[in-house]
Amino acid sequence: MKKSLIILCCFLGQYVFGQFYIQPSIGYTFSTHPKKYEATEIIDNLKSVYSESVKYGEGMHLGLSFGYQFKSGVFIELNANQSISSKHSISIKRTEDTNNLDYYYYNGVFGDFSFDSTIFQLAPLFGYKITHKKYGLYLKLGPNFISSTIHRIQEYNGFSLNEDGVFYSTKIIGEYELEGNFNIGFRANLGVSYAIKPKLDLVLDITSVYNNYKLTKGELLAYSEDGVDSLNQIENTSFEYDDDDDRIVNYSHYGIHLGIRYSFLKN
Amino acid sequence: MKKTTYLLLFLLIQSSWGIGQELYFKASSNYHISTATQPMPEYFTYLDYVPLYLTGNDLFIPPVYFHNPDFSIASGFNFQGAIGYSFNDFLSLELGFSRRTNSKTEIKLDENAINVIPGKTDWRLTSYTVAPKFLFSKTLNKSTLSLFLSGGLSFNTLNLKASVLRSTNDSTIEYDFDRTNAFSWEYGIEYDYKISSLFSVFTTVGINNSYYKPHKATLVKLTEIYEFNLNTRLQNINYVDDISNIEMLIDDNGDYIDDPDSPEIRLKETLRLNSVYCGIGIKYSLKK
Repeated sequence: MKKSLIILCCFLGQYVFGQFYIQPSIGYTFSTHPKKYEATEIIDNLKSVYSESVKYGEGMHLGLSFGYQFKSGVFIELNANQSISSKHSISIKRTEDTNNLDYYYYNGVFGDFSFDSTIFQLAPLFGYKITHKKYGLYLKLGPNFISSTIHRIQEYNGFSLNEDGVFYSTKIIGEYELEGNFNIGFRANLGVSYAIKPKLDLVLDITSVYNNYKLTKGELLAYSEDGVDSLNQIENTSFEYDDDDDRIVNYSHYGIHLGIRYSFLKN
Repeated sequence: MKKTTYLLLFLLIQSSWGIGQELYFKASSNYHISTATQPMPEYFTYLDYVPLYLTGNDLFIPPVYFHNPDFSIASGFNFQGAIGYSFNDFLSLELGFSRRTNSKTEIKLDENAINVIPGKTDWRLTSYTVAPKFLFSKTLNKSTLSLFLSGGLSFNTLNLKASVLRSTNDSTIEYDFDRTNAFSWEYGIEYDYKISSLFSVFTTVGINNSYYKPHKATLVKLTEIYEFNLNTRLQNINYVDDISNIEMLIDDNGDYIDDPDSPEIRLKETLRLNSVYCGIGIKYSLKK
């Protein structure tokens, strides 16, 4: 009886106090806090510093929102976003093969790195909408929960000692999968809507998301030295992150999302 | 010519008062809370020094690295003034001027990180912003709710001091950074309540984004023990987009060193300021 009454109130409530709506969208986001990788090389007394940035959080996203708008203009919404393309690669190469050099200095990260992130975001938002003729302008903000898995492939030159005690370089390829738990950040959207039909609006959102993401664990999926598969020589391929810099990935971004809002009642 | 200009200006102001809703002035105070952090930018390398009487030799200990993975100085107060013009009940345009400083100035270096000697840094960022703002409003009786979007130019300066904390005496180095400009933007919501025909009180909640990327730093202060080693490299730092084939010298130990008679050259680093802010202010309307 109680459940039926609640369902009835929700059904009738939308006719009295406001309306439910659903809003699918697609958008592109730009990273605001790229992670910098730097390397220094000194050969023949000449120093060069190389710098590349990995733009976590940048890419294309699909979104789906479900919300309720009161007649006063206030609305509440549950927004979900899933990345469909967030791949980045960087390359920092040594200018010469160290095997040919007698006197040199290297510091930092050299190699080819590719990152493929799958990012899922969930945000309960609270907002306010102003309507003027067919146009609407709204602001919504709230916490942003993010979960991500990063697939990283790194190819670089490592150094080993041979039997004569001389360093020689080896080509190492490692493939990792890195994960974390849900992390909380902040999301704010400023949006414009245009009513193309009584129940249908075209919407454009400018999104700001601020989210650090802490990785908790990882697994080495593949490892080779000079083309020879050496994964079975590694004792433990699973690892957990200590409290250090590398575990923090900054997914903060700005974005533009285009969508269609369907209201279950006429606007 | 001057008389004609003044007359035209007078007529323009008078006619705008006739066409538009009102001309108004605002003054407000806002507090920013940082929403994002970044690894602390390393604007200079701090060389710690152990004097002769302690070790028998003058020693420079390997550099103290700026290390703090959760760094932000976006929190702080902002004082703003604006002149605005309401075209109608829905649309208004303002020109705002603001001054902002960071409230948290002292930031410690990460004591748990490897190769980092305990120390602290003191960051003082001052930002002046000029920005137009568009407001879209809905009025009900004495209350008005507005959504706004603003974007403009920020002029920023930074003073940065680093100190190493030792039991004998602290050693300090301090730099002033050049003034640079950057695009700054914000959006949010404002609630306005009319307390009389001329005055309104308003509160604001918004998101603000800005950044600072210096090109040059100049030494302003140095602890006594360093003065014997004061050279051009220590006095001036240039920040560039690209470092390529810079000639290095070799010291007596066979190590590479930078030329002490030239300014130090480092890659540019960006200080990001992302915040959510709330504030309160007063509005004075000239005509309605």
